[in-house]
Amino acid sequence: MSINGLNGIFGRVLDGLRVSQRGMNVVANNIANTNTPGYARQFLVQGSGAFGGASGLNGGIASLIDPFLERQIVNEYSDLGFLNSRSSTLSHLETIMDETNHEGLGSAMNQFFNSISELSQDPSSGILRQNVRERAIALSDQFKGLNSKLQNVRKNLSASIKSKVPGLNDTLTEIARLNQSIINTQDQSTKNEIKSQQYVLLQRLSNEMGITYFETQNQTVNVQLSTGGLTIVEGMTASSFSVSDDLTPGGELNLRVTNPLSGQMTDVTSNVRSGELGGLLKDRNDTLNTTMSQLNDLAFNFVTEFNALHSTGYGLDGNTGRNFFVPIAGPSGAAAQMAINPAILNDLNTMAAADANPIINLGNNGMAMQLAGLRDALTMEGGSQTFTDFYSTLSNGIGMLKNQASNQLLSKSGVVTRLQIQRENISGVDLNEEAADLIRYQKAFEASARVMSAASQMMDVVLRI
Amino acid sequence: MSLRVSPGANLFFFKRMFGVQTRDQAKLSEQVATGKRINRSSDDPIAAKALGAFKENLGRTDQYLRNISYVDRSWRQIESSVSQVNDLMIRARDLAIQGNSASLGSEGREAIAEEISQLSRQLLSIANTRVGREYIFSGQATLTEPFSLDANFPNANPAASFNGSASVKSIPIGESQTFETQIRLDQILLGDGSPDSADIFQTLANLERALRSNNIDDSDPSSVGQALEDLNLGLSRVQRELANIGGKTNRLDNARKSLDDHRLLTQEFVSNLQDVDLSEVIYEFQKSQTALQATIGVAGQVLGVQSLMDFLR
Repeated sequence: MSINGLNGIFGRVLDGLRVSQRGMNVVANNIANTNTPGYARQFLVQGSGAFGGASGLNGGIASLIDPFLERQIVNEYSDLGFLNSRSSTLSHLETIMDETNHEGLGSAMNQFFNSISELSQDPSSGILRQNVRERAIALSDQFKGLNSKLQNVRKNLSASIKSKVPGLNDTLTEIARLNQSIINTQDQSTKNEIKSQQYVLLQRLSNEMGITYFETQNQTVNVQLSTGGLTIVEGMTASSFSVSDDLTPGGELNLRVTNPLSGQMTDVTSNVRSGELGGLLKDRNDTLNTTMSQLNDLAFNFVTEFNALHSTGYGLDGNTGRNFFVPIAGPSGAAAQMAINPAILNDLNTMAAADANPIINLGNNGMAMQLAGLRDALTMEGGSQTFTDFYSTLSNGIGMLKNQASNQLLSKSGVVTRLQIQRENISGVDLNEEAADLIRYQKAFEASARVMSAASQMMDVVLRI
Repeated sequence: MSLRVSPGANLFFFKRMFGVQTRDQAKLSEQVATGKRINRSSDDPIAAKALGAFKENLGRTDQYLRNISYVDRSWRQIESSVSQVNDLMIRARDLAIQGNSASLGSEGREAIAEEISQLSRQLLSIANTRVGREYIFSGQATLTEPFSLDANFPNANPAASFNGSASVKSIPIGESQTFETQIRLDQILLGDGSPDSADIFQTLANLERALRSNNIDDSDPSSVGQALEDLNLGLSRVQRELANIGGKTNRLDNARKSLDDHRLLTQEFVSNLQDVDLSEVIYEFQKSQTALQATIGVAGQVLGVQSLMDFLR
């Protein structure tokens, strides 16, 4: 037994008081951070040093973090961000293209064909010809309007992507700065707090784009893009993102990463596939470009097929070989170029409703019948779809994507919530527990103090001898 | 699974529940307000696509029905004209029988010849009937006056000529289904060369001449009796055409009826796909409201519960 004399008691009691005080500190810190997002509760690791010589009681502080769970949350956040941004973009797109509740391009196409069918009743009638012309103008307005709306959506997406970049770079810099603090700090409890701050930043980063991260030996965190594995934070070095200009009409918007040390710039557009940024890039570069090029295909084929047939017909003036629409060279930019032949706008008699010179046979409606039949012709997708089918597939395709995205979003947000609940159950602060600890350490402190006073009395007794 | 449940976990849980339940409520109240189950294609992409196709179909069915009423108007006009021709020819036949009677004097025949001459001109005006500015019996040459009498009528052969078009107009009344809106009246009035048809204008001219020349010798090819025979031939041709027209209007009625049925059925499909069962949706809405209120109540109790801290003095 190495308890050496009465004097030793004072040393032990002092240790006890210190440990209780540290315990109180941990409790106070936990209570102060009850609502700090990402904070992991800390606890005092108490070991008995009572019989181990001079070192006394040691009270290390540990955080209750489940690293596996944290990693899972970070991963799920990138899916959540991806679905979130896609579902809002697609719902915008859907509103533009939807035909369920309002008359859009699809119904303009039908009304145009109906007006031609009506023209076949009386092909020499000025009123019926005028009706066809008005419907044709409405149709070309729909093509142009839809095209410019889609262009606006794409422009807005580019702007959203651009506006995300500064915040993204701030987050990366902040993670690197915290790495620096981890190295500078000796105290493990502070290190733990910094790390839980980093987890919050990693979640925020992962909400923007898919990332993976790993902890180095000195407890700093390195971050990589989950696709391609390009390192974007290494120790105290943070790379910075930038975006190309949205200049080329049909082209892509590119996201680039610059490494500040080497100055090397890497195109990562195809590597950012999840997170909000991934969703925006996908819709900007994929969904929107595809939708617009399909609209252009439709406009080009419509104009070309209609002209091909119309130019074999005869106008009331007995002439043939005229186009109904201004011909378009190719699918690129076709929707914006759709216009009616000025000759037809100026003189309704140039519209062809007859399939032979109607100079006597004014009632010849052969061409009107053929043109009206074009709605059922398989003119799209290499002869497998009609114009209407093609557009309805296009517009309902957007609805289908929106439907999928919002269903996935619902289930994904459920997954994230469950993980967060799990995390809270492990790392969250529970005031009841803290209150109990508070009482515990208070009582321990009181007890140590009482021992001190007992020892003091004993010392008095000894001194009075 | 540990026994530990942190209050923060409850917060996340209730946040999500509020989100999900408010979303359900927004969706249901939209359905109640619009009366529609599908308000945008993402509500049910498959049904929305079918709905689009049905609506497109309704639009074109309406156009076919409009075309059918145009065809119907045309055939009523044709029927009325052809039955006027029929009446006219019956009158001409009666007059011919009268004129063929040996008891009639040359003055009587002259009077009858005069009336026959009037009938020829009346027949011409029926054959040149116009609706608006269009001649209904001139085929596709709608602005060309189809029939004209020779300047020397009745002393000419042929007595009348057709200047219209031999092609008749058809318009679409269904999927790859067209219906003609005109008939070849020239084949009926001028004959089509077959042994059971006659050139009616020529016959009337012959009759008029025979009457004026008192030729009632039945064996003579230019006698009243001979004209009477031709007249009968022409009349039966007209009557066959009337029956034919009846058949056409019948066919048209059937086409209209089947389109109407199709339209009704399509509307029913649209309604089935799109409309909500209001009582069911309102029931669901109330259910979700009760659930939301319950969640709010429970959340208030769980999140507001006193902690041990409140008892520390």
